[in-house]
Amino acid sequence: MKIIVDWDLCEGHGQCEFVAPDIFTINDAGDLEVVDETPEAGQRRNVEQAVRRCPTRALSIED
Amino acid sequence: MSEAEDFAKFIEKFLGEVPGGVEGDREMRRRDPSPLVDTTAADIRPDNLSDDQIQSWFDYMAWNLWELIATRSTEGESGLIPRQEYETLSFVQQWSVNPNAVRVITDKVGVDGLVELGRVPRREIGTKLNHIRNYASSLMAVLGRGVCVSLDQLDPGVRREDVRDCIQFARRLWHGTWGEGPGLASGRGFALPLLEDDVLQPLLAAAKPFADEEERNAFRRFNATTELFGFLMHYDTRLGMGDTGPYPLPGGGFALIRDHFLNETGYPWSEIGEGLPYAVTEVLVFKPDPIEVRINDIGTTFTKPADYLKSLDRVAVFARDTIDTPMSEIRLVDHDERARIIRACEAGVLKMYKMLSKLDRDEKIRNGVRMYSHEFMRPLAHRAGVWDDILAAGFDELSDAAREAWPILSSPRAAEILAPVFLLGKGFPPLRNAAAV
Repeated sequence: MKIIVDWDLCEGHGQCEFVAPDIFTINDAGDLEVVDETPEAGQRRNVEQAVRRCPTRALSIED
Repeated sequence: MSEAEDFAKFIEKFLGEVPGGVEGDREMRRRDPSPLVDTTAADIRPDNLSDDQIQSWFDYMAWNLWELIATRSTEGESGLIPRQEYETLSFVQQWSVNPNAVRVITDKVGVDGLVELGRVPRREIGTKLNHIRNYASSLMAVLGRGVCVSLDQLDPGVRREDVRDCIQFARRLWHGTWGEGPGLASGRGFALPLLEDDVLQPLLAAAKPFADEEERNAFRRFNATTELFGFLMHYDTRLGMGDTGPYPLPGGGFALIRDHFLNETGYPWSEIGEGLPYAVTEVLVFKPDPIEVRINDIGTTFTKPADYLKSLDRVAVFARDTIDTPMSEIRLVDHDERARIIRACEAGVLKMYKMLSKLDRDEKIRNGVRMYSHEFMRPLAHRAGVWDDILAAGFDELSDAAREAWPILSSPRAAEILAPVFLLGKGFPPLRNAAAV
C-alpha cells in the first residue's frame, strides 16, 4: 500500500492526523507530512478512514 | 448476485430504485406529489396528523437520510472517538427525551414562536439555530424509534403522539426558514441560500481580496484549523460547522457563508475552547469560475471540481463572542486575531487528544451521547428560555431504552442494526394504527 497525496488539494485540515496519527502529521507550519508513505497492512483501515475523511479528497491509496 | 453486488445496488440507489440528488427528489415527488416535508401556513397549525401524513414524512425522510449517508456526507468511524456508537445510542436517548422537550418549547412559544425560531437562520450568522438543527431535531428522535423497533424494544404503533409532535415541531421550524413549500435542501435543489439580502449584503461588502499568496495561505490555514477544532469540540461531528449558500453574485461568481463553532460550553472538555469566540463566520466570495456547488441538509458543501478554494477571491471573518451576543455586536476578525485563533485552536486540538487518551471507551460514549443529545435541542430551548427546565426534567439521565440498547449498540453487532436503519428505510417503520389521533 502506498499513500498518494494530491498536494494541490491538500490544505492541512488535519482529519488524516486525527484518525491515523502514526501515518500523518500536521507540522508547525500547518502543512501535512506523511510520516510513513508505505505503511504496513495493519494500518490499512486507518489509512482508508483518512482517505475517506479528507475534506478536499487529497488522499488516495495505491496498491 | 453476490453479497457485495447486492450491497452496492443499495448504495447506488435508495432501495435499489431511487437515485440521489435532484433526480431522486424528483422521483420521490413523482411517487408522492405532496410529501409532508413540504409545509404550508395552514398545515403547520394542527397538532394532529393522520397516519397517511406521518407515513408521507417517513417515506421522504428515509430517502433523504439515505442520500446523506450514501453520498459520503459523514466521515464514518474514528479510532479515537467511538462516534457511531454514541450517535446511535443518542438516537435512542433522544427518542426517550426529545418529545417532552419539544412539547415544553412549543408550550412556551407557540406555533408562531416556532416559526420565528425557524426564521433565525435567515437573519443571523454564527448561530446554532440553523438549518442543520432544525432538520435534525426531530429526525434524530424518530430514528431512535426506528432503532428501538429494530432492536425489538418497541412496537411501532406505540407513542404515536410523540412521533406526531416531533414531526410537527420540525415542520413549524422549517416553515419559518423556508416559507411555503419544501422544508429541506434536498427539496430545494440542494442549496441553502438562507440569509436575507439585508443581512447578506453587509457581510459581502466586508470581504477583501488577498494582498498576496502568503495571506491566502494564512486564510486557508485558518479555515482548516478552525474546522478541525470545531470537529473535536463537537466530539468528531459536523455539528461544529455549517455552510449556507451558494449566494449568486451579480456579474457571476457566488458566495458561501461558513460557520465554525469553537467555544461551546457545558461539556467536560469545553475548556479547550477557552478564550475563543463562540463562533467564527467566514464570508467566502468566489470568482466566476465553472464550479458546481451542492449543499445538503447538514450544511455540507460538495463542489465540482473539489479544489474550489482555488477560486476564492475575497474573504472576511466575523466573530460572535458568546451564544447570547446579539447580531448587532457581531464583529470583524482582523489578521492578528486570526493568527491568535489559529494558535489557540492548534493548542486546543492537542489538549483534546490528550484528554481523549485518558478516557475509556464507555466514558467517551457517555460524553458523546450527552453532547449529541444536547446539540439538537439546547440551541432552540436556550433561545426559548426553557433549557434549564428541560434539563431539570431529566434530559441528561440515561433512559431505560438507552441502557437496554447499550450492550448491542456499543458492540460490533451495531453495524447489523444500523445499515438497514440508515440505508434501507428501517429507521422509519410504519405506524400500524390506521386512525388519526
